Amino acid sequence: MVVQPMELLEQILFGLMIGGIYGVIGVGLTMIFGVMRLSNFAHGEFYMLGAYFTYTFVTLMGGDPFLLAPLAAVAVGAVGIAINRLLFKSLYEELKEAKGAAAFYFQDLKFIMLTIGLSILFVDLALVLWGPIPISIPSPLTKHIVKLPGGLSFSLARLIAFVVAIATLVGLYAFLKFTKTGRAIRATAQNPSAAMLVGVNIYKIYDITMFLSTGLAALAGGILGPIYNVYPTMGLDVVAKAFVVVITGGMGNVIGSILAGFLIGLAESLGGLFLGTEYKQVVAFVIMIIVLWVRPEGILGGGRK
Amino acid sequence: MALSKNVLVIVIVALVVVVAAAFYLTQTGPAAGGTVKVGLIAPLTGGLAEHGLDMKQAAILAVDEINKQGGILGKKVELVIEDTECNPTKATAAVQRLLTQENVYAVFGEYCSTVTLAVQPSIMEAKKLLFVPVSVATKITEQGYKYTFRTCANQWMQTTQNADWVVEHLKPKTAAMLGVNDDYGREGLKIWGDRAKSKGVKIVAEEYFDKGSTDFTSQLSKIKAANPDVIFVVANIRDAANILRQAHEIGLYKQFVMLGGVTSDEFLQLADDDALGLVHVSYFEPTSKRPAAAEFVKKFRERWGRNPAMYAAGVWDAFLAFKLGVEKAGTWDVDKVADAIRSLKFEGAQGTIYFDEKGQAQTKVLLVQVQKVGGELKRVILYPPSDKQGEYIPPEKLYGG
Repeated sequence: MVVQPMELLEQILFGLMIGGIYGVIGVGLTMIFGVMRLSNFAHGEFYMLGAYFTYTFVTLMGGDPFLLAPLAAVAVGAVGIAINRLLFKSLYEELKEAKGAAAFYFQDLKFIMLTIGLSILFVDLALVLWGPIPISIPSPLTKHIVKLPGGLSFSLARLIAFVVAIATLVGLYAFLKFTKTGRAIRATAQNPSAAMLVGVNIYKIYDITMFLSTGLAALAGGILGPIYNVYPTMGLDVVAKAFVVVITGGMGNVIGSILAGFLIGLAESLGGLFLGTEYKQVVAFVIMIIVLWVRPEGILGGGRK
Repeated sequence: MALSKNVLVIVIVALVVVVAAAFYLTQTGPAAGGTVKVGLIAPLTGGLAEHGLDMKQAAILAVDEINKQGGILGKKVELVIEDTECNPTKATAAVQRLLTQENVYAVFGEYCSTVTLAVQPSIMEAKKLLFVPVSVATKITEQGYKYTFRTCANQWMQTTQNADWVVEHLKPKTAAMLGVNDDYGREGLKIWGDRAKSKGVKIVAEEYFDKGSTDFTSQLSKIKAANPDVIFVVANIRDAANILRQAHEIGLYKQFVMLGGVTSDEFLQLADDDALGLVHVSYFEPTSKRPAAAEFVKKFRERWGRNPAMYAAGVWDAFLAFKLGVEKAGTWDVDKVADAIRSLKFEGAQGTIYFDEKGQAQTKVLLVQVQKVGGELKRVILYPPSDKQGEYIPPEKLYGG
């Protein structure tokens, strides 16, 4: 098989662009796991809600979806906080009284069932509110094509999505690393009891984590909505990929998830090119299996950074 | 604490009783002797819900129309709708419920071929009629079942008719194929590829994508590099819209050709100007002037306020076949009704319909091209000559060099 150099370049370019989005979705999921020790199977639905909220804002207020996506992210983040307070908090309080590892795993099982239930609920809710017919969010940016020499081209929307993804990831990293709240989040991730002892209000940290995590997923949904299209089960289509990213990157490891996002995006593109596109999806899972096999803690380890 | 728990239990029990009572009261319709129950199975939730909606609306409309005209042999028809989510396990449970609890006379459905194939044996064993209005897998009517009838063209019929038209009218030297990585996509690409190859067309790329994919750039980039004359795609409306948009994004402006799955106004809204120039199969066009089709479109629009997609036409014709079959047989005896349906010939929404020995409706599909008519995207019928509405426009003319 002969691969033309421009074709290879095109595949790498698109692979990296998609990888950036995988990173944003994965990072939110890994944060919840790292800080709250919770496997959130409803993560994809926050991505879906972000897209629908963006669509609703565009229809209500007018304006470009790329400007309104951050607003949708904040709104979905507020939904995240509400769910944390209404549903998750009582489980944490039960956990506080329970003792030993068995209690912890039992608790995690409850969370898993709860979030799977939430996922189904949100998908059905979207079906009722917005209907089953896929929606496209119009934006002039998706029609504006950036042309590079050598026949390479992509829409301006895709470029913006990539830039927003990178900026968000950098911003998140800086926030966690350099701010007081960021330090408190990392402290809670490392040892919630110790964090509490030094005066960190861990319930507030959980609120902030839920806000960031669901908001990031929603932002990804909002900026991808105009590029692809919006439908009730769109979250279910990404959540498996998000878990692959999280596991590959090391569960709870923010930097690991970002790197894993790019790795998976690139591997899928190149896998599709060299092995055949029917194996594209398989490539991501094979990478995850290999990582679990040789380095079960993930490429950067499960460090709660 | 104990008190509040008791109160909670009482409240829940009371709620259940009230809901059950309300449900029971709304369910008691006309006397059991005067009705015949039929079931519809369709994906009403999940990723294919938009198509399930077409099926459901057409079924409700058809049953209402039949009952308005006095039912069938004096019996009112009662429709029981079950959601399958296009999941064979869920569908099997739904069909068991229809057969054992609802005791339906006939089942209409499904959208997904895998589901139809999964539930077909149990319906056949129960000696109930199965009307397949949408699933196109060729195998469904190839297994020698007496009680299965399909009211739309099957995969083999629509795909070969598509390939024949493309080879004859577009005269491509090379072609690329792109399809969803399941039985539907694989069968579609195999039939189209074999047919095109047998007529001297070289297949230069064969690519697949998994269900639920939203990004097709890696497949399209490979196809672009192979530089084919036409690109044959098997995809649902959501994927098809993304495929066309992303093809144009990476500068791939060749002639795209698709199957009947994209025949809907929602697809045109979703794909917008990127749909321009697409040639695809259609089982049914709401612009058709044929009286049977016009009547169906009028009734559907009055009831639901939108144009029916082709899946709706398939369901409508299935109910017509059911009604006419029972009336022709003059009895509810299932063997006699099955024989009567085999000897029917009637005007349906999709055209003149009659069945072969296997229960497959012999219909001709239409080939249409998406063109701009008066500034709006419209499906213009290119073939057959009897329905022709306009001329084919090559992509070079639509998009420039």
